[in-house]
Amino acid sequence: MLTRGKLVWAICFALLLFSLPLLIRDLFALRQGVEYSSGADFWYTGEINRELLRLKVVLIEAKADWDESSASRIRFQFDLAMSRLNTLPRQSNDGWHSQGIGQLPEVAALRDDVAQFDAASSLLDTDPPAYLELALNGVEGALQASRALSVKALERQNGLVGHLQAEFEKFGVHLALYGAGLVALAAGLAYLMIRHMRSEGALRTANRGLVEKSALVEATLNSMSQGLCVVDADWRLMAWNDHFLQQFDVAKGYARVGRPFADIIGHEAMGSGRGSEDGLALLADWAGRIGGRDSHGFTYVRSNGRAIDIWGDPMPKGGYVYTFTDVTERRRAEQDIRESEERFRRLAEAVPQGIMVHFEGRILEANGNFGKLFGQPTDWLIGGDLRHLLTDDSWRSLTDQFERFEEGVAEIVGRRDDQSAFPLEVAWRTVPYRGDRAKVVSLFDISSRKLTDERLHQSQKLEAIGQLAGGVAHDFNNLLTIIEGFAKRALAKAEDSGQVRSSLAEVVSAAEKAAGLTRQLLTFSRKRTIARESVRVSTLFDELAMLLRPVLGERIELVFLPPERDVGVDTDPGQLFQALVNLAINGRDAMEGSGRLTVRAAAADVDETRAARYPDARPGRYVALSVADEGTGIDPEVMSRIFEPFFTTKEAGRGTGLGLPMVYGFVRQSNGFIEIDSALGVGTTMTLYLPLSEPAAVASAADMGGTAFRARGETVLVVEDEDALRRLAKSILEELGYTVLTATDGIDAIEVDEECEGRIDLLLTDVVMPGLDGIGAAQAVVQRRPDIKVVFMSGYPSRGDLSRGDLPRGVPLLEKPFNAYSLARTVREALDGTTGATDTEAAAPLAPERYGT
Amino acid sequence: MTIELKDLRVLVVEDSFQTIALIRTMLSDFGITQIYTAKDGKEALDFLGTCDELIDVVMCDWNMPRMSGLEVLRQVRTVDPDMPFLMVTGAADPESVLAAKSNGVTAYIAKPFSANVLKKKLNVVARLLSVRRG
Repeated sequence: MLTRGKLVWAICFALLLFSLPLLIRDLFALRQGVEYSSGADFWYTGEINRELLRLKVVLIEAKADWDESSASRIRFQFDLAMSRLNTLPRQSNDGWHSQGIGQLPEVAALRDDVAQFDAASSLLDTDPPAYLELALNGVEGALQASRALSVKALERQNGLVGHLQAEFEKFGVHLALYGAGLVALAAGLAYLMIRHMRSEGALRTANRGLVEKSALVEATLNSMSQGLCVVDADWRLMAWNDHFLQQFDVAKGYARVGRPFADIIGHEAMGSGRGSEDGLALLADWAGRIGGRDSHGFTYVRSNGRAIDIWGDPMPKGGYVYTFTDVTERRRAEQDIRESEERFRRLAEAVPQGIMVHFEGRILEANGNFGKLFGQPTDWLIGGDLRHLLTDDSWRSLTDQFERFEEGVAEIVGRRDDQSAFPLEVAWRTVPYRGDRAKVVSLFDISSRKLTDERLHQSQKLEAIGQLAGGVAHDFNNLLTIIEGFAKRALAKAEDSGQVRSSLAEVVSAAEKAAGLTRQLLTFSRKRTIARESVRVSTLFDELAMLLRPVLGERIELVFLPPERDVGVDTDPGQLFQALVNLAINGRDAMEGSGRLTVRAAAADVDETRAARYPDARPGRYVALSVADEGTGIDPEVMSRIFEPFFTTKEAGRGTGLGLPMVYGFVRQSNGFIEIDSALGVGTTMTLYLPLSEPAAVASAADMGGTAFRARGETVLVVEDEDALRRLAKSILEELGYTVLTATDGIDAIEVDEECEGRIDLLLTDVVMPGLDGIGAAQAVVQRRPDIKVVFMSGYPSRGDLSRGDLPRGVPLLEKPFNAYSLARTVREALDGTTGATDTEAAAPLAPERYGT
Repeated sequence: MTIELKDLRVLVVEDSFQTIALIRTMLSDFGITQIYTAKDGKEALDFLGTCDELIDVVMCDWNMPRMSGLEVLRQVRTVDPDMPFLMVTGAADPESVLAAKSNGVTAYIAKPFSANVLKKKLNVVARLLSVRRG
């Protein structure tokens, strides 16, 4: 098909092919024309003319000055002129003239003229002047003929130039054609060149664009925060980015287009130490998660623990584009957040307060304790109205404060599900919450605190009263000493007149009663010392039963409920006895003479929570001694005052108002506390919590040698300054059936001996004691009672090591530490006088002189 | 050497004249004839400073103006660790007892006390002295 371009090319080449031969011919013609038109004929004629002129000159000169050389010069010049004539070309050499100039008739005429010279040349030698004359004429004619020839030649020359002009014109036309062809060709070539250049530039641009685009794509892929990998339908790698390689720890050089994807997975498998064959298994596992042609995703956890979310999109011609997102940090962060939330949730659940988020009357969130406060599951309360959980006054007060204060603390009254009211302490703070301003509120049930505060207040009040009462009692005791002392003395000295003696007797009696009252006051104000020792509940109950039955009367049913296992109470036995009697009498009076009075004892472990309810209580092991009546109960209004001295609800004359204060002071001084449970019309239970004595105080009979070492009605005085040891010895000996008296040092032992007036059968005494040591105590006792038996206790292994010198010989020594058996045996043998398996003198009566000093 | 109750030489330190009179009467009833009295601690210490060999036992009230019985006890103990010392007090509270014991009191007599109580305490002193003086 002839396109426009081809047509142009055809025209161009036609022009060139057509014009080129013409141009060549023109060039030759022009060359020839130029060559011939260069004036050869005219030159020839000019040369002839010039030679003729020279000849004329020679002739003239010869004419003027003839000499012998003139003839030769003339001949020479003549010959020269002739030769010029004869050499004129006869043939035309220009192609345009039919004949040469030499054949022109003018040349023939000229030659004829010159021939005249030749004819006259003979005259030269003979008649030079004639010759000269002739010759000059002939030269003149020749010159004219030469000029005519020159004109002819010039004409011929002019004709040739015109011809040449025509040739030039033709040449111009041909050259124009050729030039046009050349121009067209050049234009075409230029066009082609430009087009080529353009196409080259475009190609380069395109190439550069491709390279740039490729780099851009690579940079884009690598700039992705995710790994990317493209596999074909045969699971061969097609494209990937650096992240993908990094995520799977694959070297850059390892990944190449066409590499089976299983190799990458195999690499991963090898990284996990499972061997390359597992790569296929992994791939199969991987492939198994792929849902056909659908997009699919799953999370792959690498052997190094990093979690990678994998998402695959199928490609139209098969294969998948996978993106790999390392979600380890995100998972960790999510885990951290979950753990943090869990911690905060636990924290919120762990705090003792109820916590809720409150907004416009609604409970938006709450912890478990919040529900517990109100006796309902928290889930039920969330979304509900706070108004239903508070008393109306509290609700109004709280909402008012919520509106007025961003944060604050208040005491309000809550309402449980059963409509019972309880005091609450609330603290709130306003916080941003889901675009609003909500209140975070903590609520704390302060029932216990209120009660404790109240009890503390009572306790402090009683403390103050106690201080007052103690001071009064002290002064009273001074006065009573004088009153009673002088009254008794006066009574002793008084004459036997009934009037005076009976009056004095009344004074003494009143003074003794007053002394009793001040003792109770002092007990209440804890101004009396208590002699603490382990009191067995069984012993206590026995003695109490004997005393109380006649005191309470027959209409009162007295019930004793001892503990399952006999326990000891660490307290002053006399004061405990007095306290229980006081409680029993109160119970009797509350029942107005008839009913059941239950005295119960039980071991009780008091934990911190329970102890916190009482101002003076500490956690620990206690014996709970309770006295329960079926009386009228205690009016709540007077409950807070029952321990105040001289406060009594009994009718005038029946109560002193010092019974319960005495109990209170005694229990507190014994490091115990009192619990009161009273209901109007039902009765009152007063429980005294007193410290449980140490378990070590109780030993089994088997430990003490069975019945062999039991007491036979004897009384033992134990003298020991170490409290625990003294109690242990007392406990063991009591277990054996001895009546045991105790003293804390030697002087105390003499006091006890003085008090009991000869009841002591055996003195069991430590040796080294402050004040008066055991040896001194034994001396003092033996001086009064030479038949008394003595046993020393000592931590020193032998008698000779004692600081006070040797112990008296023959006196048994019980080495510390001792056990129940050794104590029982030593005491029994000393009493029986059978000591002496190793020391025969032990059985001998102890005489004062045996101790020496 | 046995020392009888009646042999005791007693220094009574008491700010109440009535109480001194009562105690003096009681002591006389016990057969004690050597009875010295001081109305406060300073007087007692001055007395003991000059002639403590005349005294077997000090019987001292706790609550007295200027110097308490406890202070008297402390002063006595600095010069005579073994002097029997009976503390007479209307409030034998545990803290006071502990303080007196730690300062070496021999025995406590709680007011109001009877002649019998006083007699027993003095008997203890007599027996203690008997042992000490061998």
